[in-house]
Order: sequence, then C-alpha cells, then structure tokens
Amino acid sequence: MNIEYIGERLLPGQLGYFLTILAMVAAFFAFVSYWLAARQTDPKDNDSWKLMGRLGFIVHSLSVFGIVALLFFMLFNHYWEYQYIWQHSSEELPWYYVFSCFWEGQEGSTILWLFWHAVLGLVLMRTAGIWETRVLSVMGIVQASLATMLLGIYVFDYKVGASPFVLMREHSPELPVFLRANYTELIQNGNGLNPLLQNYWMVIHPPTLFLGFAATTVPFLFVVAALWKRDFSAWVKPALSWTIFACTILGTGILMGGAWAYEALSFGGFWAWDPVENASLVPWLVLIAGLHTLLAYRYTGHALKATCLFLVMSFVLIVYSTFLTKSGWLGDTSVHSFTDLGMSGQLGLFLLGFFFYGIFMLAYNWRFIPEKEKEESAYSREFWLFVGALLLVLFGLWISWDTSLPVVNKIFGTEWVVVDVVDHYNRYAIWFGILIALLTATIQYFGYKNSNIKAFGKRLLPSIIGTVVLTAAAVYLSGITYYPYVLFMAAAIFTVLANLWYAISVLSGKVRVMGASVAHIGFGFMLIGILISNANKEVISINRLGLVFGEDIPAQENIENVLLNKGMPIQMGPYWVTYEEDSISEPNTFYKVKYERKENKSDKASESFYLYPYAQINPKMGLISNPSTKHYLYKDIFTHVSMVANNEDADEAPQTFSEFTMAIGDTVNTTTSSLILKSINAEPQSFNYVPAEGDISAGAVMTVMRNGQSRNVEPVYYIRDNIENSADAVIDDLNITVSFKKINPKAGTINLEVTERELPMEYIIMKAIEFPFINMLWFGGLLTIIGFFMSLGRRIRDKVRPMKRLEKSNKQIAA
Amino acid sequence: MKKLHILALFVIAIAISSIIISAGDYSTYATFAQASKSEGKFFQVNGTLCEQKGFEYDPVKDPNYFSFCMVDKSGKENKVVYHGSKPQDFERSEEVVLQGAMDGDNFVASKILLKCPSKYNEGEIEEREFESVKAQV
Repeated sequence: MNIEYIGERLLPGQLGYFLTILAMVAAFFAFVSYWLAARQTDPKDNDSWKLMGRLGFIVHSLSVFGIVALLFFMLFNHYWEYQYIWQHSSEELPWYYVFSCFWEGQEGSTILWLFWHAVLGLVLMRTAGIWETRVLSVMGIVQASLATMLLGIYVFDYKVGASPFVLMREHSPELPVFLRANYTELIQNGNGLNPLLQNYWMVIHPPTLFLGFAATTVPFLFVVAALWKRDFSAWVKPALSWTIFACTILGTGILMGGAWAYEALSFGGFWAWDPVENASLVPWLVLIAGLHTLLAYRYTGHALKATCLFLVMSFVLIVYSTFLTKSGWLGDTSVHSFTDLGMSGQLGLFLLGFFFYGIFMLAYNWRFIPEKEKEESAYSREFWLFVGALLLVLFGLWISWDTSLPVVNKIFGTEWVVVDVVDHYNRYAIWFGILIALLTATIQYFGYKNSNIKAFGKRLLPSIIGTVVLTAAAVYLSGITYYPYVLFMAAAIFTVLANLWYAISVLSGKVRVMGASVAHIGFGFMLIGILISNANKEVISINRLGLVFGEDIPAQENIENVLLNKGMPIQMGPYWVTYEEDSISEPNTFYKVKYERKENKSDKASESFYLYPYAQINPKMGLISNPSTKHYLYKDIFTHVSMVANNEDADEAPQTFSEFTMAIGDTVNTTTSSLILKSINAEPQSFNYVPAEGDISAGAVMTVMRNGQSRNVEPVYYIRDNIENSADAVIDDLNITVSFKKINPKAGTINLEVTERELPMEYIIMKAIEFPFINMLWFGGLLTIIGFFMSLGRRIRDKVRPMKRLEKSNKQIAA
Repeated sequence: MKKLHILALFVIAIAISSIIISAGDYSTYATFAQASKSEGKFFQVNGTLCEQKGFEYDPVKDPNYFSFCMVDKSGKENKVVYHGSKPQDFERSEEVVLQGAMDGDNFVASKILLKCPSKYNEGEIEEREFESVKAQV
C-alpha cells in the first residue's frame, strides 16, 4: 500500500543525505589526492595533486558545515517528521537548548566531531606547510570513515551508520499513525530533551570536549606524517604547538564536564570515575605524557620513540572512548552512555582499523626513528620527564583496564565487576597522584642533559622547608591524619611551592616563559582542592530523628536524607533548615529552603540564606532533581531534593463530615479547623448563588480558620419552588466545604454541614553536603588552563631554534 | 642493558602487579544464593522486581529506609533493603542491578541501578505518546 503523504517537508532531509554522501566522497577524494601529492617528488606534479586534495577537503568541509546548518535549521523550526528532531527536542524548550538537542544523540555528536575535524583541517591547510599533503591525507581517511557513521543505509542487510535525516515513518513504520496521509498534522510536539541536559554547561561542555577530541587527532596526524616522510626535524614545532593545543582544550572540556556534574547532577561531586569520564581522562593523561617526552626530544633528541608511541596511543584511546560510549557495551556500568544504535560492529571496525594502522606505522618505521646513541644521565631532566611520562601512561592504562571490564566480560565471557567504583579508583589513584606531584615539583630543577645534584638539592631546599611547614599547618587545621592523605597533601603543596619558586628564582618572573610553571602550580592547587573537598566532605543532613525501622538498623553512613515538613525547622550541622514554600516555573518546581546559622532554635541567626534546589517532575523520567549550592570562598553547601511528597492523590484523601448547630457569634471546632458565625445576611452575595424571583434566601457570614490561615466565606441557604437548596462555600486551598442546611427560626440557630479533607502533608526529602575548599579545585583548574594557553602562545611565536635564554638557564642549573 | 630498559621492565612489572592488586577488588555477578554463602561480602545481583509485591517506603517515618522484593536470575525472591530515599521512577523499572551484601535474610544494597523502559534516549515511541495521537484523530 502506498500512501501519498501530505505536509512532509522532505527537502532538508534529502539535502542532508546528499551532503552526507558528498562529505564522505570528498573526504575520500582528498585522502587519495593528497596521498598522490605526497608521493610525487617533482614539485610540479605535486602541486596539481595538492590542489585537487585541497579542493576535495574544502568541498568536504563545506558539506559538513551544511549538515550542521541543516540540522540546526530543522531543530529551530521543529521538523517533527524527522526522527532525530522529534526524539531530541520539543516545542517548549528555550532556544539555546537547541544546542544541547543537537548533540544529545549519537548522530549529533558524530557531526560535532566531524565539524571540528573539518575546521582544524582547514587551519592545517593554511599552516602545515610541507606537512600539508601527508597530514591532510590521513585526515581525509579519518573523515571519510567518520562520515560513514552518518550514512544510514543498508549494505547487504547490514546497517551502515545512523543518519540524523531519517524520517519518523521510516524509523518506525509499524506505527498506525503513519497509515494516515496527514500524519504530520497529528504530531504536534517532540519527545523533548533529557532534563539533566537542560543546563548551560551542556551547551558549552560537549563542543569543547569534542574540539579536544578533534585536536588530539592532529598530533597523531603529525606523527604519522613524520614516520611517512621519515623526517623529525622541522616537525617538532607544529607537533609541539598542536599537542599543547589538544592538551589545553581536552583538559578544559574534561573540567567543564566536572563542573556540570557538580552543578547539575545530584550525586554530589565533580568526578565519579564513570566510564564515560574515564574514557576522556585517559587519552588526556597519555597526551600529557606525549607532550613531556616531546619537550625532552626537542631539547635533547631523546625519547622520540616514546613520543611517537604516546601521541598515536592518545588518538587510538579517543577512538576507543567513542567506541565505549556509543557501542552500548558499557550497559550496566555507566549512567550516561548513549544507547546502542546497532553500530557496535562498525564502531569496532573503525577502532580496530586505526589501532592496527597506528601499530603498523610505528612498527614498520620503528628502526627509522632517530635515536641518540648516548644514554641519558640519571641526573638529567629528559630522563625524569620520561619516567614521569611512563607513570602517566601507566596510570592511564590501569584506569582504562578497569573501565574496560564490561568489554573484557563481553569478549572473554567473564563476569567481573568493580562494586564500589569511587572507592576503588581513589584508593589506587592517590599513590599515582603522589608520585606524579613529586615529579611535577622536582623535574624542572634538573637541567637538560646533566645537572649538578648538589645545586639541585640547594635549589629545592626552600620549597622543601615550606612544604613541611605548610603541610603541618594544613594537617592541624583540616584534621586530616590518614597517612596517604597527608602524603598526598604534602606532595600537592610541594608542587605548588617548588614551581612557584622556580618561576621566581630561575625564570626570574619572566611571564613569557612561565606557562609550564603556571600550569603546574594550578595542578598542585587542583590536587589540594580534590583532597580537602573529598576527605573533609561532610553530609550535614544526617537524620537525627533516630527512627529505627523494624529490626534493620541503618548503618550510620547511609542515613543521609532528612525529611523536612513545610514550615518546620530542623537542625543540620551548624544550621537550622526550613522548607518554606515552593514555586512553579514550568517545567520546574523550586523549593525554597532557608538556612539559618544558629545554635538553638530560638536563637537569633548569625547568618541566613536561601537555597532553591529544583526538581522537574518529568512524565518520562520521574523526578529529576537539580541541586542548589551556596558558594563561599572556603566551602560550598550543596543541597538537593531527593524526593517530594506526591500530592496527586489529594482528592482521594479520606473525608470527614460533621454537623453543627450555631447561633450568631458562636465558635465551633471541627477536627482541623474552627468556624465563627458572624451574622446572617438576608441578601446573600455568593458567586455560586444566583438569586431568582421568589427565592427565600439567607447567607451565613462566617470565618473559617485552619492552620493559622483564615478565610471569610458565605454559604447560602435558599428555598426555591418549595424546595430547600444550599449553595456551598468551597474553600479549595484549605480543603473545606461548608454547607448551610437549615434555619431554625424559633431557636435562632442554623444548621451547618462541614466536609473536610485531610490536607496532604507537604514535605521534601533533602540531602545537604558541605564541600570545603572546592573552589581551590576550580581555581587550580583555571590556572592550569591559563598556563597551557601561555605555553601555547609561546610555542606558536617560538622560532625553530630552541630559546637561547632557556638554554642559558639550563646551563646555570647544570653548573 | 640501558638504564631505560631496566626502567621499562620495572614499570611493566609495576603495571602488571597494580592490575593484579586492583583486581582483588573485582567481584562477579551473583545470585542471592551465592551472596548468602558469604554474608557481608559485596556482590552485584541483577534481577527484576517481584510481581505485585510492591515496596515499603514511608518517608515520614524514616526517609532512609526503603525495601522491596527482587527476583534474581535464578528465580529466587529476596527482600532488599536500601538505606536511602526511594529511587525515583522505581515503580517503572524493568530491570534492577544491585550492589551490596547479604545481611541475615536481607540483601542490603549500597547502590541500585534501575533500567526503565522509556527514557529519553531510547528510540521507541511510548504507548502514551501514541494514545494522545490517536485521540486527536
């Protein structure tokens, strides 16, 4: 049966499919042309192929930009007939969340990756010089393989890629709605965006992270190009600049992810060792290792093989991380992996392809990688840079292994699982952290090639003394005594002081060459912040009511939630906390929680503030809670609502009826309220009583009070056509209905019937955590990024010759 | 042998030993029966909610006590206790992944992971969505 559908806007989709194929073909064309150009020895032939390569890559980039523009256009204009648009957005979202919608799904994030590759490719086209042909040739094949992920076509019953331009009726043809030709009129809104992603960090974190991913490709391209050309001299400058750039952006992206987790997720922290987090941390660690060995190579000619290996590894690990997040293999272990689009085969092929390509390139050219005959001295900077780099890679591989357990299980049929993830990683990571911090503090004091060990000790002495003093003070003030923590603290403080002292004494405060010192100081501060905010984190919402339930006595660490009845203050740590009211701002409900710092309930608060944690009662996902945090310079108070009272059943609450006989001036008490009869009104005014000709009527003017709230009401009694009637006074918000039933003229009283419903309890269940010194982490992170940018600026300005001044200072140290 | 080679061997030795040491933390998927054999040891148990048994959670009495009944993969039912607030969307979950240990007759979970049938990123159109479309027809 063929249906002529009406109202479908097919053009953007068709254009999208066309651009996808064009992007893929053009990238492949660029790969081939650039490859041929790289093989030509005659510059003239070289030029014509190079021109073709450029043309191919420019067409490819324009196609990718076109795909991006189309998808945004369709999202902005609510083209619900397209599956991707329908699934990831909805009418009521503010415009800026269209960005989050764009990269919520796998297809969108792949486009984002392609987009950044295209941008970086264009930059390389202008700047790479002699490396252009080789670098962009490999970029072409990377892009062509990535573009296949968007194809969404079937090749011999095997689905290749998932297209964001697929129509809903093609995606789910079995739905009966598609039997109607005018189905587009019936789909009025989209499925919507996951509320957790409705956060400004989600607008900026994914593009930054993906720029980081894309940037990590560039050092890999340069290694491959150098292996191909067997030329490692003119190569150092661009390789170094791009490696620093990739470290900077990827690091920033990871840090933003931490900030998002801290601000928008309710697990209470910035890092949960979730597989998705680990998957982006590991390539960064390996990239940092590669950066440091590359520096060693630049100044001494050592460690080139390690550099090549590390830079190739970091790219392969990026590909591996997308495999982990997109294949659906993580299943049970990750909260935020993408769902399986049935592409794990294709993703696996992509991963294995580049894995073996990297191995092949390295193995085949291994003996052509130049190596210094002379061995490094044990007192040289390059030796220790190498040790540090190895340590980082080791750390990364260990994280990667434990994160990969689901993959290991899938391949080998084992059933391994890490149960207490955070504790598991922290326990071992702390030792790596200590070693890496110690190396970060000391390595700069070694000169390249060789150094005088006595001078080395002398230069470090002030920092060592400072570390001992400050660590003692920190232990005393923070109360941290667990010895690995103390060591960690000492190592972190040492990193800060030693690098600060280096910047002052050796670099004599010259800002131009201080990038590395600033980044290292920032790293030290980050470690201090991580340690204190975790070790001294305190859940202040400990349940003090001590209600023991049956025979199960809750373990102390688990009673972290407190129930707050509306208007009833409860003591939490140094605060008295009151849930005052809530307000709705669609689609969120904000809970106004007052914190007052005081000893006793009756004391005057020395400080008070409000926090507004909010929650979205989402029909699809239940309660999505967003924390609210009070920031101080030295600590944060993190508050989140873990549950709210369900008031949907309020209308089904039990009712009580009671009858009263009252005279004017009387007060009666019902089970929940009190009623005062003020007067009888012969000409009743009530909105639900409409007077008619011949009515005999009376209104009872009265005040109803419940829970300290009072309302003036007037139930009406009237006789119409000889039948007794009453127009009830309904007080919705107090859940009381008063009915005027009868007048007793002789006694001068009236009969009233009162119907009351139990007011639903209004409460929230809340968790509050105090994070001390968390700002030190953010400050340190910011400083690290600034340091990276400083180094980047220096390397870009840098001439090919190593800097005279630095050589001099190295000689100084060596002497 | 060069210093670097010795170092590399040393580092590989550390790498292998650290993976072995950290592998000491691994546990395996288990059933309730296996978990009760070594009471107090942590396991991961996968299963589904018992049919029509409901759950016990009275936040007014104790916001940190939540219990329910789960059937593990072998079909055995067991009471599960979780000292925390009721996970949102609990009723709708199809599959439950627990991490915790047996304590007497109860499985005390320290972590509960729920798999719900209709989350945002699942490509299927919900029944409800479907009805509203019909209603407009």
